[in-house]
Amino acid sequence: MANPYQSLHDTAFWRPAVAEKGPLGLSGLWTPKFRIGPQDKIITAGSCFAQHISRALRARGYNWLNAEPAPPFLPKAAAQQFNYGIFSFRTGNIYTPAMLLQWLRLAFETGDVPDEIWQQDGRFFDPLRPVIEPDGFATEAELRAARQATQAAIAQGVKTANLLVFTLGLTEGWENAQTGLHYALCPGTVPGAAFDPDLHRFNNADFASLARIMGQALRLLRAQNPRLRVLLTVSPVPLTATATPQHVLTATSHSKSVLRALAGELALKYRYVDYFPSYEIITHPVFRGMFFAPNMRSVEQAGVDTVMGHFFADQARVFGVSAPSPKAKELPGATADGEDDLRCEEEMLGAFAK
Amino acid sequence: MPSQSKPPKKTLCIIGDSHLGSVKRALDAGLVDMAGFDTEFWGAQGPAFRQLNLIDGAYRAQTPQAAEAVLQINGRGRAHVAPGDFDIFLFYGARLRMAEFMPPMLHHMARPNGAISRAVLAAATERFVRGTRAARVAMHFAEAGARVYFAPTPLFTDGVIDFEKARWAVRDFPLAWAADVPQRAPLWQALSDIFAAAGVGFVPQPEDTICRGVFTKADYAPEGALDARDVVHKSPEFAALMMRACLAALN
Repeated sequence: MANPYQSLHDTAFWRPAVAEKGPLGLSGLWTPKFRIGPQDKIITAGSCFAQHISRALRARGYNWLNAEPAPPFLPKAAAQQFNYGIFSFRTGNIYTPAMLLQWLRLAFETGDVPDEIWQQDGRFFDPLRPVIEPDGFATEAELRAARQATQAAIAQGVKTANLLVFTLGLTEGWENAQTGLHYALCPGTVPGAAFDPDLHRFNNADFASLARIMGQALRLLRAQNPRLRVLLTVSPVPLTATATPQHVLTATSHSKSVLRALAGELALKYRYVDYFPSYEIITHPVFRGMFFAPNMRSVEQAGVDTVMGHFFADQARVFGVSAPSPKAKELPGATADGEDDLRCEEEMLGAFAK
Repeated sequence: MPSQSKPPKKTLCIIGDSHLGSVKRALDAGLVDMAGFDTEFWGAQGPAFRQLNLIDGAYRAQTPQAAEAVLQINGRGRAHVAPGDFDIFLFYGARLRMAEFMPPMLHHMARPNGAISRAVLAAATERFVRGTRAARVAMHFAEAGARVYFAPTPLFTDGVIDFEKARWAVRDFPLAWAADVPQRAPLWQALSDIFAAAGVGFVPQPEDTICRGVFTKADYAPEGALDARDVVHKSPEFAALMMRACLAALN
């Protein structure tokens, strides 16, 4: 052997793998660690982009678990309005690893999670998911019962599933400076609480802390279900706004780069964790931004289709083609469909732009 | 001194499906004091009830078969009813089936992951109610200025139920069987709220007629129900209870 590169596959070389293929001719971007088939029970959580993955899996007849289905008779539009059927649990978007760990601790009653309820104009809001009910809850008891239901759904879903697809969204987050409670969104940008600069603290998590938090979350998940595998993705959707002094574009690069590195490191470290490169398929310069809407933030359906095309093609390349499961198409509870229907609470921040 | 004249009787139209039969028998047997009301029945049984519809502002039969059924039940030659025809309208039974609503809702809400907010419950209940044509007609009558009440089709009868036949409605929702007054209360309230918002008074099934979560007590089975496996219809005694609840509501 003259040098170690001589025996490598074409995909190891830029010219044959990328330059000569062009953006729509790329293949083999992902070599999955494990087979994901229609028989697998899949739960999804995370940032906005995770909703695309759950929809695509459902559309292909994969067994996406709706662990917190909408009640009978609730119309589809209302189910979406109340955030049913969007993720496997009614958590709303989970943008940060800290929020994921916090929800898991609540669900499995491990570790202390500070108690906090927001109240405004006689309505009650859950700081862990302040827009889960458009007008808040009628009473604190109602809020707590609903949160218990979500905790039970998470516990049931994690224990039942074979696969968690988690989309990492942000490194930036807000927390209670006194109690350490992590908020889903910045107080004051959503109904329920006024922003208090002495109480509400910004945190842009660094790589080391994120790795520690995700490690804790993964260990907690596996302690509850040793068979559970985790597929990580990174949301390609740029930040709506940054609370750092940086320009939002460079803040986005920083945040996404840290999350991308984190996902890669976790996939290297844990045999039951894999990384699927939806982030690269949307954002890489090879694709010339073709999948972004004119605002250069929202991802067009063509991008989602391309991402999921790679997902299924690479699964088939490595493990063979999976036949859809007819049974999996009959999922309980209402689900929300429609391209305009993605639930991205972070969009709220857009309303506060100067 | 001249004698005081009696106040004029209020005209009451009881609109419904085959459940009108038990009401008629209750009234004929004198189980309910209907003094003060000039009562008339209007409706159709079975499939003919589905052929009644709101046309040109009045509730009318859409087929000759339904028209014939209406005339037979009414007995006074009234082919259609409009909001201004009576002082009070009572929709009775009329396909708003509690056996379709209560078991799945109570089962869902009894699950660890099933707690729902009042807002969600209201949205789900509204879909259920507005999915029933007679409920929409009742709401239209109220909107047109009529005084309207609605008493839904009661829960299936305990002791008569054929679980294979009623599987979709009852057997698949075992958690509902453990429901009691506190669990059913928010559902009755949600139904009442939906109707109230449309100007219609809702008359729930009396709680003391309910057993085992989602069943009507076997005492209220009509004669021959067991042989006929009739889980739906109820006795005149039950109808009398319902009518007394209705009269209490409209008084």
